[in-house]
Amino acid sequence: MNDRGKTENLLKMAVEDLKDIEIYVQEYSTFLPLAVCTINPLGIILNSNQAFQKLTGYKEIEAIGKKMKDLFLNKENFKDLIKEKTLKGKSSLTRKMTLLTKEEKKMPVSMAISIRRDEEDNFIGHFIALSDITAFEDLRKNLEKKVKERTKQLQERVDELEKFRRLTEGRELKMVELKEEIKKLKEELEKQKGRK
Amino acid sequence: MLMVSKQDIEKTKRMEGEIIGSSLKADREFIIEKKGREGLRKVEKEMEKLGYALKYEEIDKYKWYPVQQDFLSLLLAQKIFNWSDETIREWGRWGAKTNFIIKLMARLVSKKTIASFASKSWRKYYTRGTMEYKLDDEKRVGTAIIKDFTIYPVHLHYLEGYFYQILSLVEPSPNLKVKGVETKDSNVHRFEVTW
Repeated sequence: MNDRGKTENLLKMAVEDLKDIEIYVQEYSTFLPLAVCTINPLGIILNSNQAFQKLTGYKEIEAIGKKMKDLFLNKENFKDLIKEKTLKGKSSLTRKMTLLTKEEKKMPVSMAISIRRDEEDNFIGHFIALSDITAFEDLRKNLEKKVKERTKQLQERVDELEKFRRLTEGRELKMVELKEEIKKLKEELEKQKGRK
Repeated sequence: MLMVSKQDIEKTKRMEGEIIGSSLKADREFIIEKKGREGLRKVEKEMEKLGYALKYEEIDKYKWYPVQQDFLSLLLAQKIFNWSDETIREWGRWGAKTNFIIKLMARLVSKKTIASFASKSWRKYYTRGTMEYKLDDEKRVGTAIIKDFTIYPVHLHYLEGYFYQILSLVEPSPNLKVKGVETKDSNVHRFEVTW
């Protein structure tokens, strides 16, 4: 095979490999149950997977070009998080955020964020992963409510016992006083009898 | 009856160069999104009448196709669906958003990188023509110039949308504008960018 033939063969193999990689990436992105997107250094969404679209309500074509911070209630928090210095030295960061879906529903999410760098180590943006923690937050709030109620009940019981304790303590003291008085009176009576 | 005049058909046939399949595929997906498969079939039927038959399902993303496939699909879709210039710009923005090549261009982190990337990126789409992009950050203006390439008005509006979308990734200013400007030379096309 001459040089031209070899080059054409290599090109054909490279194109086939590229097709395979593209199919793999698309299948993987579709399968991934975690909502993931990439943003550039300005915080603008470059792409997103199906799980991200399902979670946020934004189709990929709607999400691309949007500022990621606009998807959150606490926008300023997000802006601080994506500053390069925030993540310096860390492979990733996780924070609780409030997502605003396309339908304007507020959803508590756990957001993981990591820096992207090119082969020359230049900062080129971030990977972001979101998970819906609504169920976890509901459970936490429920538990907190139950703990509060239980604490209130226990406090009421303690107060009752304290009241009873004070009552019984008072009665006991009174009984001791009465016994003392009876004793004195008895002694008095004995003395009176003795004189007669 | 053909939807394109004989004169335009002759001009089209003389266009030189090829376009990458992935771009053709993405552009036809816009037609599907807007008008469904039936709408795309209408465009494909008209293209077949003009001698440029190509079904969407048969497009290979990594193959090169005659550039007429690009131009005619834009022109015919505009005529068949009576699309405004703004819809064509929307089409251009769609093309930039959905293209796999753009998604991989993580290096587009600033207007300067776009300027240096411009000429290489043209080659990823077309085998003919050149593009250069100059910007003046102080005056907040830029100029993209495409040479040695035939562009008709419908394609001009498409590119306005396309360039706008790429630039909006690095310049999210609400004042960003991209406008195609006519030049005396039919083979030279200028786009003025302001932000």
